[in-house]
Amino acid sequence: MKDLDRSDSFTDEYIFEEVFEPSVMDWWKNKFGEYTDVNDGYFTPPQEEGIPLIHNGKNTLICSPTGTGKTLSSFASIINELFKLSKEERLQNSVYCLYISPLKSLANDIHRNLEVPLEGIEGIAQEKEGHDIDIKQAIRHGDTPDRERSKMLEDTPHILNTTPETLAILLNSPKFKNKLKTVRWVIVDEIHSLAEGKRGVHLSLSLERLQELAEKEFVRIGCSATVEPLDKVGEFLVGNKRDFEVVDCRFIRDMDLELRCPTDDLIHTSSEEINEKLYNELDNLIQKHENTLIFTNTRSGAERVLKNLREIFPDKYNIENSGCHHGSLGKDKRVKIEEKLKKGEIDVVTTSTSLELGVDMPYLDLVVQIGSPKSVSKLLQRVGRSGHALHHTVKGRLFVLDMDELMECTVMLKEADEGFIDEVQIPENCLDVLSQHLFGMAINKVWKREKMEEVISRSFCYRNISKDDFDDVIRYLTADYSGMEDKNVYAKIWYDEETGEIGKRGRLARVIYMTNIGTIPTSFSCDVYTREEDEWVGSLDEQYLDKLEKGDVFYLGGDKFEFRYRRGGKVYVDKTGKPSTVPRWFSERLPLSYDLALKIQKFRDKLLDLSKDEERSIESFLSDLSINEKAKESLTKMFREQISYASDSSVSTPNRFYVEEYLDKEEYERNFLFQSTYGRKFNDGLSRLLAYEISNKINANVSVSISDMGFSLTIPLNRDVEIVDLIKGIETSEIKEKMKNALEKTELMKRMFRINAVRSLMILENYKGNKKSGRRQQFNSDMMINFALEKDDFAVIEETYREILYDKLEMDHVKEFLDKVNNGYISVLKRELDNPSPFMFGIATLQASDVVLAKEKSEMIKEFHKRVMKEIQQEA
Amino acid sequence: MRDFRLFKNAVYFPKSGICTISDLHIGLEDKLNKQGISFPFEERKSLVNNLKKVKEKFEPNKFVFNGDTLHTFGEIPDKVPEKLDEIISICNEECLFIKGSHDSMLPYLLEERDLEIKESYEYSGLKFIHGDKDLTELDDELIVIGHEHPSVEIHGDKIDCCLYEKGKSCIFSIIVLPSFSKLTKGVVINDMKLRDFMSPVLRNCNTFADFRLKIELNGEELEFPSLKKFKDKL
Repeated sequence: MKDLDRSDSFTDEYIFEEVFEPSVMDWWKNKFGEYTDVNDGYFTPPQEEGIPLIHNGKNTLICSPTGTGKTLSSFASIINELFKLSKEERLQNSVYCLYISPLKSLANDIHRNLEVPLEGIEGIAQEKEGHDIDIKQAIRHGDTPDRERSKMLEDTPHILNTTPETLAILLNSPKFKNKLKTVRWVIVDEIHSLAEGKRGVHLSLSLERLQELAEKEFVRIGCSATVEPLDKVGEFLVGNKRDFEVVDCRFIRDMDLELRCPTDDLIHTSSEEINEKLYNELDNLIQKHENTLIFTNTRSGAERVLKNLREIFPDKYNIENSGCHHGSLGKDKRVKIEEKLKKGEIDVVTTSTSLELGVDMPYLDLVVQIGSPKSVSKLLQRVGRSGHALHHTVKGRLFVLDMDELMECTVMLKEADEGFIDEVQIPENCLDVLSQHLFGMAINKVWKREKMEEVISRSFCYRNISKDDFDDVIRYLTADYSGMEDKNVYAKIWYDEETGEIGKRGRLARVIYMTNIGTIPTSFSCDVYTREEDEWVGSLDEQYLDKLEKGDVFYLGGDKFEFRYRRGGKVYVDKTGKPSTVPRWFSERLPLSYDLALKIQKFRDKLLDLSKDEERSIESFLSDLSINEKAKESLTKMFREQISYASDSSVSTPNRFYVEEYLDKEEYERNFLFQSTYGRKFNDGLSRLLAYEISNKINANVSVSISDMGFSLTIPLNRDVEIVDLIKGIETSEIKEKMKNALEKTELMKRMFRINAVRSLMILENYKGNKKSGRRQQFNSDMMINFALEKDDFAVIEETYREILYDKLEMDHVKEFLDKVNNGYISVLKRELDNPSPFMFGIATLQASDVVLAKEKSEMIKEFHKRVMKEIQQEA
Repeated sequence: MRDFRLFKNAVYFPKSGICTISDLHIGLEDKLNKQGISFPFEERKSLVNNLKKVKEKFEPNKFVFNGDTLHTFGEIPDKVPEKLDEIISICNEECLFIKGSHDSMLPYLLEERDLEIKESYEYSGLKFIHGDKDLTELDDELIVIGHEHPSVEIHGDKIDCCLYEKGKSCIFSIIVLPSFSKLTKGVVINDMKLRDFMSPVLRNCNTFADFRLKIELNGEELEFPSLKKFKDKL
């Protein structure tokens, strides 16, 4: 394939003369002629680069914000080519282009968006050239009726619009898979959202299997909004050892972002006052803009903001001109809101995550984010929904309501401005997903093991898969365990070591595969009962249980309860007056990323330097940032109080890990607060490891609370531990085994084992016409976990550990940190204080709430603060 | 109350030479498999190995299978007769079956093998019943039931246990056997009250607080005092 000279090829002339067929050109000029002023030509930046690249058969990753013509930048060359084939009457009744997107709604949108060019071009060709062109497109996903599916065999779409799960089914469909042999292009839309989870891993293997089936190497096109690192996502798209080109238009739109803090003193202002100021400002903004979208971090938060707006301004906001959109609302309600947004018929919509992707909102001119979006890429994705056209500026306003958020969001805006984006973490070597695909491959034909391994390791996610891991999966699928009887009953495949051949077992294999593949777990909610009265007190999302250990206290419906145990789908608790240890929003709210946390650490380090600098003040440094005056004052005040109360060394930096100890004599507790600025997953991992070490040492329970900005460990007052020595003394070679011990019997382990057992097809969700509920699956997996733990290198257990340790608890980062402590790069410093220092308030009072400040928390913080201030004054 | 020993969830009465085992639930694995749970619990191996060890340890004159020997109602999965035969042969046919709530198909299987099945069995002051039905008469000193699958949770570990009571809260002495099957989930008694049990025999007792427990760890039997004395320490 010839190399493209970018400067020659990325021009209007090149595309019109070298790429487009005359009818396609006519349609394009006619359609986009009116935008030549704003686009500086007929094409938007991603189109100008993407169209020639794809035309020349290059694998292409297109990164560009919404509203910059991404769909056509990927489709234009393909449509053009199909058009040419059709004109030459070489277009077969077969699939040429696969479009894969994570959302069904997105698939529907794209289908509509393609109708316009397809019909337009066909019309022109008919009229001017007398050609009858018929390029067919169709949608196929889980909701597509059987009738339409079977029709596709007769009358096959040239462009097939589908989801990752349906693609995996098609690969095993005896007839339809032959229709995929002609595939020449595959477009993966919103690739960033797929890449960061097991759905993406699953897709990466499907693409390699598709390549194995296809007659020629197909061209891979990835579309994404702002994502980082581009080379990794590109490799994820194309697999191992293939080349790709990047169209990087991530920063082509002008940004107008600003952080708003409702008060200059987040500590002393009452929650009522903060709320009043917040809603006045919101109302002001909504009134000044055509359509406003407000993001909150939880679904209940989205509902609450809408409710408050309607209550405070009853004559301004009503059912007609305001609404709420999130995942737990009925489909009808959501569609109604979406329609209104498309037509610009609504003033304000509140949402949590459901409007982040898809759905065009051309009249949206402002995005408000309340609370921290937790990562720069999330922030850009959300605010990028506004000004949905290239020539409009992206406009976003961030509101922060507590001190940790203030610090976090200030850094986020600064980094966004400097072009930083958090890295996506792509899971690797997932054994459950591999099990599904090996099974699927064996169903299609008998394979040589080496060939299978070769296909698998072409995927980016399995490029480093070890022979041991592969062996574990084969052993699992063949039920090959020492002394194992009835192998045939449990084996999904057979493997002949002599010939190296692998094939399927069981009459039902195909049906089992077709009805059970995919990676999205069914979740359920647990009913909560008190132990004493056996009274139902509410329900909890099962994910929430991941954070609960016996003795943890949480809020439910206004009361506080102590977690005792779970049986199947029932959770048993005791009523309690103790302070809560796990915030209510925990399972729902996104974690602060490791990358961004490190930026916050750096930022604090910078403020620390400035506080000693005689040339430049903190205030003047902050003046360069897009934050309002009140935010600036509040931030400066907080920082100054921190160092005057607990000295310069009370700030964790890249070289210092700061721990605070304080005794709570009333509760008879010794508390260790860790200013661990490494993000929430890291904090979850390190805190579990330390708690395990401490509880072994002192032989008592350790209670753990974690947040984005640190964590706390609490032990009885009469026990003590040399925390600095303990951290220094951890052998990093042993942490994996220690963590495995620490995880045993936890709810997190049990739940993830269930999910992986289902994904590994050990528990079949759909079998012989029956569907197992999430609760049923959990009940079944609880039965088997102890048996499974006894087996050596059992693939499902191995995968469960892998996923928890690396995807969920970032043990690789924890290890890196501990290594740095060991070699002295990071020093651990502990101070004993009578009260937590200001930076630690958030960690010490973890029952933070969402959007509207809980009274209890603000009271507690004020109390702390008062004592702290008194001590500073006395010293002075 | 007469002496009894506990090993691998089997209870042995040295004086009478009877060993009793309850809740084998043969066929539970096959049933799960039919429901799409494809996990090798290795039911046969675990039942057979444990039974052999029990036999070796106690060398009893007679085995009393105290109900729920089978798991499935209405149908008998293919592998069940084989498993049953193997178990019977380990006992050298010196065995007797009590009918449990899951055993509707057991009489047919036993008839073919010329073995007995009873609602209850009495022997020198011992009465074996499964426990799913209430007692009709009370002239025995010690009642032995299964049905409940009791276990206790100690520091997060779940351990099968034997519950017993020496005629304080009931007018009879009683032993509740743990489940012999490793597949059934033990029912944790830590927070249970009498009303939470399924057996009418137990529910008709006056209080649960006087019950004591016995567990066995690696061949060592551990006796606990009555629940009321140590429950808060659990």
